[in-house]
Amino acid sequence: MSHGNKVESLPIAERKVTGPSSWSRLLHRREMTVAYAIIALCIVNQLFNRNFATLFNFQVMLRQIAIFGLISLGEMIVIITAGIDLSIGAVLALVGVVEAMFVSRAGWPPLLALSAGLAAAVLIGIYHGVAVSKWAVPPFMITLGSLSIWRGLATGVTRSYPILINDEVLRWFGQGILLGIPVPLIILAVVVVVVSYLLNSTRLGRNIYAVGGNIEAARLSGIPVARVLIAAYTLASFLVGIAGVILAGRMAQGLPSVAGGYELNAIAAAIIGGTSFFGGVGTVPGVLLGSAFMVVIDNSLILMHVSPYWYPLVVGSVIVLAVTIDVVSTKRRRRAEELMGV
Amino acid sequence: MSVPTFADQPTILSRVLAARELPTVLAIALLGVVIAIGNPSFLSTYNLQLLGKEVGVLGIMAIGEMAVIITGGIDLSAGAVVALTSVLAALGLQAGLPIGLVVLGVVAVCIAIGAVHSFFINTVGLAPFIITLGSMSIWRGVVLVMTQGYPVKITNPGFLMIGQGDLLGVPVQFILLVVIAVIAAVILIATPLGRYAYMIGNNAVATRLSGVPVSRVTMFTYILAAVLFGLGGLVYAARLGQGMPGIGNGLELAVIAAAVIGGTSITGGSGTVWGTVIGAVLISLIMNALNMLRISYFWQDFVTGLVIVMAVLFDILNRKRRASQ
Repeated sequence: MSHGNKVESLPIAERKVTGPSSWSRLLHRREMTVAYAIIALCIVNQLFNRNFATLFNFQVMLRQIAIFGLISLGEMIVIITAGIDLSIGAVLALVGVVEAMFVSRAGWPPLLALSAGLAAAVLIGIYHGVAVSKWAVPPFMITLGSLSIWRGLATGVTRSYPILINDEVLRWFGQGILLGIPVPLIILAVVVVVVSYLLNSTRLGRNIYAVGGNIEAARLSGIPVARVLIAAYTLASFLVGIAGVILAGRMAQGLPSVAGGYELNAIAAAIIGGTSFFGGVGTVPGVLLGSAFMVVIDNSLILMHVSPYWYPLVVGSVIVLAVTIDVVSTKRRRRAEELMGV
Repeated sequence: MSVPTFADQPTILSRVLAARELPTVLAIALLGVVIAIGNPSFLSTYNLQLLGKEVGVLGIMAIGEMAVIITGGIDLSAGAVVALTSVLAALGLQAGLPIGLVVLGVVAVCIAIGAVHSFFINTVGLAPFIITLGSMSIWRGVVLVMTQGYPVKITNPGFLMIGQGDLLGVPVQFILLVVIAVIAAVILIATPLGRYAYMIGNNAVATRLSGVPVSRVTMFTYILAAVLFGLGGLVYAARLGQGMPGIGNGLELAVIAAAVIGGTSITGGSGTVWGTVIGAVLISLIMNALNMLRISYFWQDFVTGLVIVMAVLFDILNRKRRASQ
């Protein structure tokens, strides 16, 4: 994996990732390395296990990628602002629990219960954004606190028991099929289009990249930094909320212990997809490939009958490796730019 | 934000009155009274010993975390290192190794872990939270793979003393905390290493330019943290009589909370051993209160999270106010 060299050899003007043509540049960029890795993984899988390339297994993976994709896109948006969100697993669980409690215990209409879950996610996102931008709390600190608080709230109110969701409509979001396509995948597709448009073609999107690239420069050029950060964290939480609705629908329950450690998955997918920890860099297609990579890894471990206990080990190693590559290549690029007098 | 020296602490009385630990001490006293009223068995010898054990193990680890935070870093691997070392110790004892060798082995592993953290932070340039987060996941995975999720039993009575024994009624791990606290305080206040740690936390660039070996100092703090987490793991293993792969989940939060409540600034540059121990007392007391007042165990994460967020916000807003004065 030597994306570093490729990035370095690109002319500087082409290195801006914010342009609308990021899809077309896909074939020439580091994202392709990830695509090749995915294909290689698939081939290895198929060689070792005939069950890999089956319709059923692909359906399983596609449903999984909807959830991984949504949370990874959320994580990407926050990392582009040079922040981080460690609360993803907890918020995902809380949204499902809130939805399940309102529909099954309080007897709310399904869509209202769903909105309550999403509203919880949005409020959490606003709180993160305000804490980071107005109170200057380090992003990892406020979201680490959130990880504990929201997981704790979900566990506390349910006394750690799952709450069943019998409602057809809510289950449809996780289990339904529309025109032969799993509903979660359709939701992901819509989100991908919206987020791509938002990041590439709106002022907010440009501001998100600008704030992450250089927060002082962004502030001096009149960008409302606090509002941009609040929007980024809120959007990220909202995407996690959607993933929570899908997962709750798929399991037909609000499970307080679900999605533990998903934030690590999302971080890994985002970084593998080319999002830089230094901020200001990250693309939707890259992160989708990163999520696909994580899903295939997850899937191959299961199909190869490797103990699930290996999973945290693999995810942790992938994160360390991917971030190291990101840091080393960014440093090298910056040194090259300095030499060129940029 | 100044480097604490002896000159900053002229008399005990003025120090007590001006201390930022004062609110924490008052909170501890108040909480103690409330719990004692709610449940008289709070003051029983048994419960006080339990509290002493909790403060002991949490305090030992919080001192390590504090050292890292003082230099402007963070270590999120506390819980995973605790699980790893508790299992390693149990496996070592099961294999019939002597206690001394097991402890040395665990310390050696922790030194290696701390050195790896420091390598990625100082040499490669990773953010401290991301390398220690990855490390957390990796060690958690290693422990699960090693044990397949099953606890490993410990029968060595000498080893169990570390977590279950007491000296004149004082739990061994509390005595251990006192010893470590004194050593750590001396290092922080009276050695160049300690002064450099505060300087790095205040301004790493200026410190480097003034010729301080920044990477070596931070390496020391990450190694110290890992070793103290490892001691925590030994204590837990001895207390429970087994190495538990699932232990210490979220412990990193309690440890950070203890340090921050004790006045360690999350942005680096300040923090005292004494304050951190006080912070550990408050956290242990809050957890004890949940038990004593029969609040469900399931609310524990929620409370820890709230406490840490409030402590961090208090610290940051306080600092802002002082800066504007």
